[in-house]
Amino acid sequence: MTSCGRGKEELVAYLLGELDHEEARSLERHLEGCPACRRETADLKCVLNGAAAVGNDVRRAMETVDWEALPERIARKVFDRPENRTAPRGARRLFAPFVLRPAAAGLAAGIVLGALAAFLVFRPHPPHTAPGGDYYASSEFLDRIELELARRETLSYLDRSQNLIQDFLQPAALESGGLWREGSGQQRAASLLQKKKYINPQLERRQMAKAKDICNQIELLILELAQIGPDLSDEDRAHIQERVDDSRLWLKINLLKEELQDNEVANL
Amino acid sequence: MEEREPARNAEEADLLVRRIQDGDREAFKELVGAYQQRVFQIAFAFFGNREDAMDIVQETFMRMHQKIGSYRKGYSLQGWILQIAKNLCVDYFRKHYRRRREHEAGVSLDDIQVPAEESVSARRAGELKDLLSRSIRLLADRQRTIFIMRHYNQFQVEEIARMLNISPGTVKSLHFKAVQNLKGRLSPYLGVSR
Repeated sequence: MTSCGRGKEELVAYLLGELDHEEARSLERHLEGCPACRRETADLKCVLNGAAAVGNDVRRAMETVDWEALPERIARKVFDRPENRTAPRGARRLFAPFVLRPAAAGLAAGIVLGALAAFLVFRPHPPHTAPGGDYYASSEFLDRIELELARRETLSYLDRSQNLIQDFLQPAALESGGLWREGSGQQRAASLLQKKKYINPQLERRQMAKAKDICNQIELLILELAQIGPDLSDEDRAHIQERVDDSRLWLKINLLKEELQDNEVANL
Repeated sequence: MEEREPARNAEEADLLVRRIQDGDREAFKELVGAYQQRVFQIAFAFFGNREDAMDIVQETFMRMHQKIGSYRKGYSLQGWILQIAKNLCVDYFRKHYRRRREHEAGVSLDDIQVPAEESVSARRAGELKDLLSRSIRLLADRQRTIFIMRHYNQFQVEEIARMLNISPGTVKSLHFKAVQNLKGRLSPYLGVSR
């Protein structure tokens, strides 16, 4: 409701041309004498015009698409996939009992898969060993394990660093008995510096250049935190806050965490 | 390219669907050609970028083809396709929400180290547009969908109601809430009163 009691829905409908002629005329007469509704209408018009500006982006983007070619491109993806190639009618007839009776087909498939699973579980299977008698794992498998470890270690380092920086920037860190006053903050910083030494070679080996760069920036900051004594001041905190803001470290950490969580380490 | 005319009535739509169910590639292409731009409009308004919108267009028609057997005869074909598109948009949006929020700030991991060299006015104009699309993306799912369908797809209230299977009154009410929320978000920037 506007201050004069008129419904705002009516104003929106008016701006969108949804009122009939009589209703629109009546509202226009009201607007002439009601500054509150005029102001509200102007506000709403501003919003709708703004939304229309975004609509222009949609139109511009549409002009860049080859709409003639797109149906064929999508059809190729749909029809040219092996599982979607249509079987000839004769073949369809041959498999008709399964096509027409999915439950029976499912049951048959279940029996076959069950038998196969039982065979795989109960058959006597020797350990997978290399020709020399040692246990064997492919280099690809080991590579994946190593990559996964590097990913997890880096994520853990990022999380712990974020927690520590966040705790440091809390006003409570300055209070007596707080994180820095009692020394636990410095201990956590020292432990993070140790951890960084451990993940350094992993980042190096996995060619995670971007991750390494960000972790190095964090390390410098943590180093500063570790050197701040129990008598830290507001200036110390402001200085660290400024460093975090200037380097956009928080944003970088968040983005890196997302990429790592999405298993995109290989592209870093 | 002008959008091909969508199937005019339920019978035409049913026929088209039956042909697709029979594996008719041309029928499938005809349908994609008829609705691709509408799907794009919805998706672009959701994500604000061409690449994601194109992914949604492709995924929508692939999904539609998979589900073609579940199409109910006599149901609005356009409504069905746009429902699939909308659901995909919402899922994708939720899945990538955190990442989007970072991207909304206009940065990605690759470009954060490159300082922007825009002029102040260009940056301000860009910020305003970003703010608008960001505000639309921050609306609740149903408000956002209805606002987009109303303003970018140019659908009438009754059409939206039919497609989303809700009453015209609900469409109007959700649209109004969307406008109010946008106004609330944009007020400080545009200098309009709350």
